Amino acid sequence: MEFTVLGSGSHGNCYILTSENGDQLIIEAGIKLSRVKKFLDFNLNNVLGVLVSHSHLDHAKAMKEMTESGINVYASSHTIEAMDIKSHRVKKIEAKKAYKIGPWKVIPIEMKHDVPCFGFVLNHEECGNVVFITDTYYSPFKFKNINNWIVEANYSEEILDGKEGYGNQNDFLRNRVLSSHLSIENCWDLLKKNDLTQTNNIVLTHLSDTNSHAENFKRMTKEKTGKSVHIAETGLNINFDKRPF
Amino acid sequence: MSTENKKKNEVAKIKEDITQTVLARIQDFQEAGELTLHKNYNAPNALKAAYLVLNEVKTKDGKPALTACKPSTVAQALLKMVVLGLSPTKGQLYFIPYGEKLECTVSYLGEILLAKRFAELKEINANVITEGEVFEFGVDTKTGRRFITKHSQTLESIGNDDKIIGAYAVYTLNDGTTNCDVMSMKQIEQSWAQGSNGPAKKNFKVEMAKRTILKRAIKQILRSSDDSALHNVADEKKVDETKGYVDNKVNKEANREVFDIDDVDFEEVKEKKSVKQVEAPTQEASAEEKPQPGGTQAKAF
Repeated sequence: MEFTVLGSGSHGNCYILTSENGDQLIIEAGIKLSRVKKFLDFNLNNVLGVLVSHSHLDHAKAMKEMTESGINVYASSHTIEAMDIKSHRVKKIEAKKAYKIGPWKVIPIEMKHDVPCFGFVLNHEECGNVVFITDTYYSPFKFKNINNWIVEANYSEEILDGKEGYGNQNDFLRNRVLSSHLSIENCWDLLKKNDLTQTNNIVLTHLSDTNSHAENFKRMTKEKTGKSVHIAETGLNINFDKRPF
Repeated sequence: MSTENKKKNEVAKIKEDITQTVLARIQDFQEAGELTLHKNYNAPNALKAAYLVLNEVKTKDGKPALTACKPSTVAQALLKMVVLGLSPTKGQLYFIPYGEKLECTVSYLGEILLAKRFAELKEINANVITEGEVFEFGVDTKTGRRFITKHSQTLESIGNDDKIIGAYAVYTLNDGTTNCDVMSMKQIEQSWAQGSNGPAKKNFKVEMAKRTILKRAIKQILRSSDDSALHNVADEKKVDETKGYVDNKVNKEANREVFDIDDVDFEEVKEKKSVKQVEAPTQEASAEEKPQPGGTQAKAF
């Protein structure tokens, strides 16, 4: 299994999981379809589907185009209605129900954002159990036997309220960030509360341009977890197997 | 244990108890939103400083104030200090024991600070006038404000304590308004006659006269100030509601519910395009729950 980042952050999110036989599961439709197509060499045949977490454009921008290109898009009823999509390609999914998308088991879980937002717990025999969490100010859940984490680390409290952060300039944005995104501190707390013995990779996603520090986030997360930690930057492509070897 | 040690311990115990009482009270007030401390004021620090000062305070008959005064009055005095946001080590207030009661009295320096904080005072200066100096002043009949047109001093005239004939204070507010207050020595002495007759008024006549005129001028500014200044101060250290709410939620609800992917069974195991649970939204559903126009749905963050 390979994990590729086509975009992560408020300018657009899109992640692709490619299994050994070439099947692809896309998470988030927050970048232009043309960029996705380019990455896929204009071959959409292997795309099993797209999971969309919520209706904000950095996650759902290309939803409609994707359905029009014949890709199945899986999202909550709220997201489907907010994006106003009426296509047989769009599939309504509900929290805590398991869906089979090809060889994948997909379970949406409810996150804590300012609009209804899904995280996903996924399973595939190559990458084992995967947690995908984004746009939430905390995770209500702790998980069992997770092999790979894709988790938001949007801001650090220190930077947010520091000299350069929003805290100093814009109360509205600061308070919005606080109550709708996961801080690196709360991300660490989440990882700490979970048993990471089975964990291979931790990918930190959705880093804020203003309120985060990629290098420090990566280094400190590595120190705290002892795991292989990656920052989701456009172009990141890593092995995403169940075990490192 | 010697009696002295016992006494020391007693004082230490009282200190500890009162610290806790006062800090707990302040916390109660703050939590209830009834007390807003000034942003540049550190209550725990001021309380520690207050104890250093209080340790030295003695009653008329030489007993330590901390043991002689009722703890409740000590707590009251400290609370007053914190509510006003003043520091005892800077001489902004004094703790004075009256029998069993400890009182917190604001000094003129403390009053200047309060006027700066709450009554838009920018600057205030006082001078004394001695015999032989030229001092001319008048009243602006349009506003009723006094103004000084001339005050010339000489090296011989200044510091001539016995020949003070009056004092004045000139102050400027943040909006640029200036005003002044003038007192003749007779008025000043009348004012002094109201209080105790300590040696300071004989030995430091100039400074005491300045203090008297400053206090009178400040009283006018401070007591005529409205509450808007207080509200502004309150805004400066407003409660961070969002952070509080978020932290509370995170503490109570984050990372609690155990989720095991193996516990959730498939609703329907079929090929991707015909998963039963997965169906396009019905027309009614989309008509019912249309997104609000201009809502947050289309925003990207």
